[in-house]
Amino acid sequence: MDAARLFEEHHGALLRYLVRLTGDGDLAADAAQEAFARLIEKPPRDERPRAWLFTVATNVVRAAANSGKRRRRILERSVTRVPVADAPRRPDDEMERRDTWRAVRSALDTLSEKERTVLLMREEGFAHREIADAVGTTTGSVGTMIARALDKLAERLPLDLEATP
Amino acid sequence: MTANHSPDAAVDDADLIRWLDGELDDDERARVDDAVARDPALAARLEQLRGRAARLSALLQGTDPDLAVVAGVSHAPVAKVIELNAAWAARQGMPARTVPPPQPVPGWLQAAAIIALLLSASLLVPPVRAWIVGLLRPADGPGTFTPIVATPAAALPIDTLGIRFESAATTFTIEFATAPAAGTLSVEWQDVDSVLAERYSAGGGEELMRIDEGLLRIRNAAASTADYRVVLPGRVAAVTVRVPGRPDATWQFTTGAARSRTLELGPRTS
Repeated sequence: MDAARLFEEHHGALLRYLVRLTGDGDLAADAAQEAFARLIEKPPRDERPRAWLFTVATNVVRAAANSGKRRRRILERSVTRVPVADAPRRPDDEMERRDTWRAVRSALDTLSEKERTVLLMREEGFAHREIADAVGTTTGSVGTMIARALDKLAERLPLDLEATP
Repeated sequence: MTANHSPDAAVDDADLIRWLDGELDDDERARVDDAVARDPALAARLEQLRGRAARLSALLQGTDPDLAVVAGVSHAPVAKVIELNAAWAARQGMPARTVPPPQPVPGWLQAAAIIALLLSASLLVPPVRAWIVGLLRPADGPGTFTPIVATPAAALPIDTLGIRFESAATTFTIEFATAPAAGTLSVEWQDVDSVLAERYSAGGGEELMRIDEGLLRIRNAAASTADYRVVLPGRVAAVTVRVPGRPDATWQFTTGAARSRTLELGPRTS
């Protein structure tokens, strides 16, 4: 197993997925780092290291969210601010982007943990079988969860052309 | 809108998502194609799901932060160097050296920087550090790093482990009771003010607790072999291990080293 190659190929996508999942850049970076540290410590026998990394990182996030420290942090987190650093942009663009970010974040927070994980892993192109393994469900139920999650998000986000949320 | 939309109840939302994601085999795909062709409501639902998924992707991509910044890689260090150079030159009455503005970092350099950061940060993870130290350790000779092994503990599987930590002191006090235990416990002095305890097992790592000062008591109830590892920072001068209620069962270790040491309690199983 070439850890450096895996890092180069998957770290960016893993970090993107974790930022979307948590809305917390620090937590996302920690979880991605932890996943790769475990990869180095104990390489998986799994022939799908990408799915393994995402599953481990998701579990790290889940465990962190359950700890008191992270719980406090999440409770203190406000949708009125963007909790991740970002590159400078034009003020108008930045304001609009932040508003959109808040709306997306708020909508994602209405989903259950499983729904959010399933939806965001799909965004990263995982097969339903890999998604099912990651969240501990059946392959057949992944499609149902995705459709349900999209329906919930459509109530809060402009996902339908004619919609005015 | 989550219910079935076709008189053919065999095609539902899950089938439509699987159709969109290319998860269906040829027969299933033909079945869905046929149902969609016969049922306008089902066709509309398919388009609705497809459109929602596409627009969600666009929203997510449009609001993703700069991942290089999230990962801690930015031009900030370069800017700081320029700033310090200018300040130093001003104090010396010299014109600041002209430094070209920071250029976009090549992808390979960003990757190298991220890998370096990852490897550096991974040293904070006790098992990873122990592994790396093991790789770097010479087989024999002066300076060989040898873990301190508390052999008496091998006969006393650990159930409850107490770690007393005083932030102003340079000692650890470890207490344990005797019963089967599970997993590998790693305790690390995270910084001068706190201790981090993590339990590693086949299922992965789990942060148990971070304490600023006082007593950390950990109980492992599952029956397994005892395997505890305590990573001691260099500033720790002495370690005491004892079994509560048994004053005779006390082991004391003087590390006397300006480097991290590993204290292993109990039999290693691998």
